[in-house]
Amino acid sequence: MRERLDTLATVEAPEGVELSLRVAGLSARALAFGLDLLVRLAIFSALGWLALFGDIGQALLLLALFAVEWFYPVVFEVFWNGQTLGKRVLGLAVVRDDGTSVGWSASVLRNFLRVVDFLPGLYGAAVVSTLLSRDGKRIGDHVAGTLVVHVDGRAKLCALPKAEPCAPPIPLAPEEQAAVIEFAVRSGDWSPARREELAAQLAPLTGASEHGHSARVLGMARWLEGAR
Amino acid sequence: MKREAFIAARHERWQRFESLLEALRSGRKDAQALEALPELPRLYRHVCQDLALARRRMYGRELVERLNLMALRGREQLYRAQSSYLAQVRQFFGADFPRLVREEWRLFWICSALFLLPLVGVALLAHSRPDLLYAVVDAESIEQFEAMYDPAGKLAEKRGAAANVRMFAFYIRNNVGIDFRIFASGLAFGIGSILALIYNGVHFGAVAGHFLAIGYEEELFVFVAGHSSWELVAMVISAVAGMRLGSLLVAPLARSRSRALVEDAPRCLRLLLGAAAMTTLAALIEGFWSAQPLPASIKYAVGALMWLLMIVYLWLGGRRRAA
Repeated sequence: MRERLDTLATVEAPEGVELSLRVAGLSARALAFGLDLLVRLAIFSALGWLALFGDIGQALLLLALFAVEWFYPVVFEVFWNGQTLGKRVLGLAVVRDDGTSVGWSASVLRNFLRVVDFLPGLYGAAVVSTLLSRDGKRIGDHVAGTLVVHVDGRAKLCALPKAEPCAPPIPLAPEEQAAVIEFAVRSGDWSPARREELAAQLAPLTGASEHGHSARVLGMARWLEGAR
Repeated sequence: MKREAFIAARHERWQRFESLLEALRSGRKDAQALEALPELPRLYRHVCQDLALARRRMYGRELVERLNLMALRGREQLYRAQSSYLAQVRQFFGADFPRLVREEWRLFWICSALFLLPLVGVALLAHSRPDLLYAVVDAESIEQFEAMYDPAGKLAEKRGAAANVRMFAFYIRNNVGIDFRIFASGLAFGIGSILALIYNGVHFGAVAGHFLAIGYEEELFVFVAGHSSWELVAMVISAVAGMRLGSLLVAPLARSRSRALVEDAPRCLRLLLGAAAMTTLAALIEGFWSAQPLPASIKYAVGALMWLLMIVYLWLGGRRRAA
């Protein structure tokens, strides 16, 4: 269920545990790309003055242009934990399919193949490929065997919202317990009305009257976590 | 065990693991971090175990995610590959690259033919009809070419040492960039590489034929003699790499296409890397040698030597240790 609903890619570690990677979607990647584009333009314009310094200056300029055109993302990805500046800002990183960090080979492949991803213009092929692929891969990612994932979640352990702990009236199956706790964890993201509306579907369980469904569900979540 | 008790029991260990990871990631070599380093594998295994437990016992998204992230980072530190760059470079250029090229000898000759046949054909045509060049190249570039190779002009005198550096940089950006594009466009079932080869063959053929027809060929050939070997063959090898990449889509053998790409694309990339190095060498020669005002005989001799060197390198390189 979770695999179908969420954009999670799972890899199995030799230590016998499954690790999940949160795959980045099109919008986050496009934003990161836009930021990187700005950075590159900034570098280009910052280097423009080199052209004033005669032949040697122009030589340096041309070499710098070549380096930035082809190797800007590669160097960042290899030496900066899979992150370009744009990806860093958006909390994204490039990793191999098995979740380990990218090396030269994978990074060069995925970035050089932007030539193909760009076709027929404005990264058309990349957009189509990203939308069709389960793991949001553009063509270069398919060839290099890489993923772009969210790594921003230095997920703080937030305490569940305050509520009077109360035991569920019937024993809950593990999946149901998980659903209740997930509700509590995410409840801060919804408006109170929406929270109440969702919790109201559990009316038989909460046994609450008109209002107070969500408070009861939150209470159960606290109880399930051990609060008494 | 309830979630909060679980966290309380392991909190201190997780924190140590996280601070160790942070120290390793940032590359700070502080004494405290180094002291904890031998603990890394054990801490990592503990975290993996905690993650499995937290999942199984459904301790909630936040906790599982935090443990998941810790395990991922720990794994990255534990399993990252490290070896001497210098030894790798020597192994690659000394043996692996020529071997790779020889392994692809069929594609190599196919690509050479795709480049040479249009070149010779169009050169012959352009020789009899010099205006043919105008169908291939725009008039402005032709004027530049003609000014460059005009026997009356003093090509070399126009270029001092600094200009040589500038031209070298120009050739790097242009020619190595062309290699990269030929390679990447090959992913489209090899079609991009094939078109690029034919296009370049037609282009060079038209220029050569045109200059033969108007009698500027001496200047042109003296100029290109030195670097032609490395540059042209590097372009063909880039196309070989691109076509091999495309062939993984056309004929993935007993694998899925994505599997074939992931497995064999690095091999194609190594071919491209070698080709890019050859093109860089060609750019060095083209920038600093080809325009030197020296007698034609010396230029031709060096050109022949370069061809010989390159053939020997690709033909014999890495054979001894391959046995």
